[in-house]
Order: sequence, then structure tokens, then C-alpha cells
Amino acid sequence: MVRYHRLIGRLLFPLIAIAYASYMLWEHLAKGFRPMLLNYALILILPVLVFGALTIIREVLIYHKEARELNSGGAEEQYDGWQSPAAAGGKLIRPALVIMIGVAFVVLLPILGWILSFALLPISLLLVMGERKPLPLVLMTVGCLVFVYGLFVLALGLELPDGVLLP
Amino acid sequence: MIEMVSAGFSLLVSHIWLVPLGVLIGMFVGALPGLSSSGTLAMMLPIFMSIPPEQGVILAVAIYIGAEMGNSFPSVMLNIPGTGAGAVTAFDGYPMMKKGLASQALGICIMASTIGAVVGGIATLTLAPALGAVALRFGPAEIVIVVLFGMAMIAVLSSESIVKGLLAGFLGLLIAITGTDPTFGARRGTFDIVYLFDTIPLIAVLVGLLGFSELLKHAEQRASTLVDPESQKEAGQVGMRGIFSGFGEALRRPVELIRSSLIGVGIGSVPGAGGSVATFVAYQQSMAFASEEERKLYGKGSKSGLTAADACNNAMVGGALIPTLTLAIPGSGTMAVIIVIMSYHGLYVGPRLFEMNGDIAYAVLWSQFFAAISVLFVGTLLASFAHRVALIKLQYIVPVVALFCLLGAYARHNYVFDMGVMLLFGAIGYLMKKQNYPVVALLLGVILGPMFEENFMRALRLSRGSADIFYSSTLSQVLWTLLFVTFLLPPIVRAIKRRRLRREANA
Repeated sequence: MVRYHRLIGRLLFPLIAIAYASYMLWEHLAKGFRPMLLNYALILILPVLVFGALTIIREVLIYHKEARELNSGGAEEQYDGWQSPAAAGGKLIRPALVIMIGVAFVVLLPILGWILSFALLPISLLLVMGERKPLPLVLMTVGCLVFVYGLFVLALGLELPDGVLLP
Repeated sequence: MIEMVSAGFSLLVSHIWLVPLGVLIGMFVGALPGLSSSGTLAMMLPIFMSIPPEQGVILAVAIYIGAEMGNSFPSVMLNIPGTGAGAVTAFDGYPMMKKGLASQALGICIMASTIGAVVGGIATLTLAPALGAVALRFGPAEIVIVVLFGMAMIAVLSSESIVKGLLAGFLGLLIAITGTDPTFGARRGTFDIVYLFDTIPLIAVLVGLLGFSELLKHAEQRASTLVDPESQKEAGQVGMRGIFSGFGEALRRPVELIRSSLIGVGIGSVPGAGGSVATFVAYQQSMAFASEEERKLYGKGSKSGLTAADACNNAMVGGALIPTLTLAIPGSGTMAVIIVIMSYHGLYVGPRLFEMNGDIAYAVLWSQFFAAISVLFVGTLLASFAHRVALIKLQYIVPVVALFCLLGAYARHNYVFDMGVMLLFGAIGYLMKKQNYPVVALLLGVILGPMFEENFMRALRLSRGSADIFYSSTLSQVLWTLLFVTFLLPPIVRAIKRRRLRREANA
């Protein structure tokens, strides 16, 4: 039986490319932008759409070929670089959590301010990576704050958001 | 002229302490993603204006050279380049680090940077006026052809599937047009977000695609360190021993060193061509003339590729000095700051600089050699500690790398939005790596796209829409010939060699 969730993984990137190129095409048509010379953006949009479609066709054909071989007991499973969450033993969960922590950091930074945000960032990432001992958690947090303040704020004069919680 | 050259040397010797100081500051700046040498020099302008002009210019050039080398440290150890040119170092430096060859990779970077700076110095001392005149002949059409050298790498890098590589490359070019059209002023691909009205934040894209995506791969692994300590010991290339073996590897590639350095000087001397272009071209040339077996290693830990990238990076400084000192046209953003320093102190900035303030001009040119020696010593000292990063536990590496990535994305414009862009491209880079799409092709498009478009459209406007401008001048014909020779000649030579070997095997 063909497991389509693996196919979706292979098609994600070309689908993202086609979606972005389609948005750019719509933007050009909607705004009616007519340059005096050639339209440079269209020269790029069309190849992305064409190569995106070709990539999708290629991946679907390869996928069905591998699925046929698998179902007929032929070649060994070769899903280069991609495994279902179960087969991957939850390997994808940690990268997903890291991205979520990153997004939360970016959203909360202007609200909480840089001190709280840069304190919570290493703690949460260390917990995701499996660190449970309190001493490394505290030391990394303090170390990161000192590093950010000493180097970026004091020495380099970088202005980080104070946040709305601080006076 | 000889009196001026020796006067310049004496002037430099009296301020020689500034060179290692500048190189150390520059390495520090170069090692931090999001910080650029031009931005740092601009921040230090009050200091430059309060010290004598010869001290200011010598210090500024030393910082520039140090920064070009310092960029290699995070590129090799963490896959987080600070500039587009540094990304090329990461292509092969980081894979070498993962194989346990971090010290050797850093040694190659240090020696290649030193040789590049020396070649740049020799070229500027001997050829400055002549090269300046040639650089002036580069118009937008010629710059387009030079950029094509770099962009043509997209096809070469698409080893698994040409369709995947071209998709990634064209998507990178499409992403690069985000912002305001440089020719007509229309907004493109901004989603009506004000932070994208200027252009897509390049450093955030770079750091995300290379650094943050790698961090996500580390988060996925069960390994405890970046590199298995046993494999590092087995590779036998740890610490000073590894660094010295890197020196040897670089010196065993004299053709690579000289060719890449000359490309760096040549393209660096073209105002507006940009450092990234030169490094990509040097890398592409190195790959084009490599043997069949060596070509397979590019992007996977090729010592020749790494040598080419770093030699070019530092030779570019010499190249950028040529139009700056001979014609008062800055060869790069950093050189623009140097012109400001010179103008402030009343130095004659222009073609008569060598006549009116020749001792200062030659002191600056001589300083490149001393900066090269400083890079060798200071870089070796720093690299002797840097390889230990590979042995730190991954659970501690991930938060630190995340911190660097986020701050690196933020530091350029002070926008929290850029951090979000970094995360987005980090996720895209991770997806691409998992599905074997060439991230480098996307990166190439994003880095070289703006320069290609600006010069392409400018050339068309100059010629009122006629394509003749791209092949009518002698210089453009020479460049097209070089481009075709670079692409056609190596496969022909390889095919002839294969046929000869087959004939010998059958005989």
C-alpha cells in the first residue's frame, strides 16, 4: 500500500516554490505593473513554475516506482533522508520543538524584553535537548545573558527591545 | 617613485603595532555573524578621526583583512557565515569539521588567507595604476557576465538532479527580487510588510539556510557531540598538528592559491562587483578545473575548494584598494569608509594621491604584507582553541548556536522581523537538506540575484533595450570567451583523458 504521507514530504519544497511563484504572478497581474523594458520578475516566475511542476512529476514517478518495488518484495526501502514519525523514533519532534521555541522567542521578545527572553531561550532549548540537571541550566542561562549583555549591548551598542513589562 | 615606496615602508614600520591590533579586532568582528567590517569601521569613525591619518588608514585596512579571515571560524565550526563570501568557506569547511578535520580546515583557511593577502599586496604594489584603468572599463554589461560565472555554478552543483538544482536556483533569484525594484521603484513580493520594502535581509537568509537548518539537524540526532572524539583522534589532525597539516595542504595547491588570489584581486578591483561574486567565481573556477575524483568532493569537504574560497577572500582586499587609492572610487563598502577617513584628514583622494601623499598610500599597500603575517600568527593562536568547539556536547551547542543565529539576524538592522525571516529560512533549509535539494543553489540565487538584476537592467537601459551591449565591447567578448572556455574546456579535457585511459587499458 502506498503511504502518501511520505510522498507529501517529498513534494513540500516544490509546492512551496510554486505557491510563492504563484503569489508573485498574481501580484504582478493584480498591480498591472508594465515596465518599459522586459519584466524581469516574470522571467524568474515562469521557470520556478515549470521546474516546480517537473520536480513534482519526477518525485511522484520515483515514489510510485519505489512503492511498486517495495510491494513486490524487490529493492529494499530507500527513503533517503525522510522517515515517517514512527520509524524516525520521534526524531522530527525535537526540530519541530526548536522551531516552535524560536517562533515563541521572536513573538515574545518585544513583549517580555530581551532579559527575560534570552533567559528563557537557553533553558527551553536545553530541556528539549534532554538536559535536566539544574546546575547546567542555571550556568548556561547566566552565561548567555552575560554574553549578550557584555558583548552585544555594552561593547557593540546593539539596542535590544526592553519590552512592555519593564518600566 | 622608489623614494615614495621606501618612505611608505618607513612610515608603516613606525606604526607597525597597529597592524596586529587591527587584525585581532577584525577577526573578532568577522567571527560574529551580523557584524560587517564596513559597519564596524563606520562605528569606529570617531576613533579614526582623532588619530593621525596614516594610523587610521593602516588600522582600517588591517581590520578589513582580519575580518575576511575571521569570517572563516564560524563558517567552519558552526556553518554560520557572517557574509555571502563566507558562505563559500562553509561549503567545504563545515563538512571537513564534521569529519573530524576542524583544525586542518582552519589551517587551510589561515594559510590561504595569508597567501591571498600577500598576492593582493604584490598586485597592488606593482599593478595599481594599470589595474585601475582596466577596472574602469567594467560597465554593467561586463559585471553581468562576471556574475554569470558565479550563477553558472547552480547547474554544476545540481549533482543529483538538474531539475532540483534549477528549481532551487531560480527560486533563490525570485526571492532576491523581494523589495523595491531598483529600476522602476515598484514593490515586489513584500506581502505589504514594511520590513521587506527595502530588500530581503540577506544575513538572516544566509544564517537561516546554513546555520539554523544545521542546528535543526543537530536537534534531530542522538549524537552527543558535533564530531565523534574518536574519529577526530583517528583523523590524527587535532590542535596545532592539524593546523600545520592544513598549512601543508594549502601550500600543496599553488595553482589554486594563485588563480583564486588573482580572481580576488581582479574582481575586487571592479567597483560594485562585490566580494561574494569573486569568491563564487573562484570556487567555480576551482571546481571547473578539478579532476573527476576531486570534483565529487566539492561541497563535501574539498580542500581545494576551501583553499580557493579563502585565498580569494583576502586577495579581494588588495583588489578593492586599487580603485580606492588610484581613482577615489570605493571598491567595497569598507573602502567607502576608508575614503571618508582620508577625506576628513585632508588627504588628496584621487588619481594624484600617490603624488601628493605617496608615503601614506604606499604605507597602506605595504601594510597588507604585515597584516598577512599577523593573520598567520593571530589566526593560528585562535584556531588552536577553536577546534575544541567540535567536542562540546550538542545539548550545549544548540542553545549557543541558536543565540548566535538570532542575534546575527537581528544585528544588521535591529529588526525582530529579521529573526523571523531567519527562522523561516532555517525551516526551509532543513526541509531542503532532508529531501536532497541543493541549499547552495538557493543561496547563490539570493546572494547574486540583486547584483545581476541591477546591472542587467541598467545595461538594457543604457542600450535602450538592445542586447548588443552584452557582447559589443572587447572586454565583454573576452569575458564571454572565458566563460565558455571555463565550461567547455574542462569536460573536453576530461573526455580526452578518459579515452586515453581506456585506450591504454585495452592495449
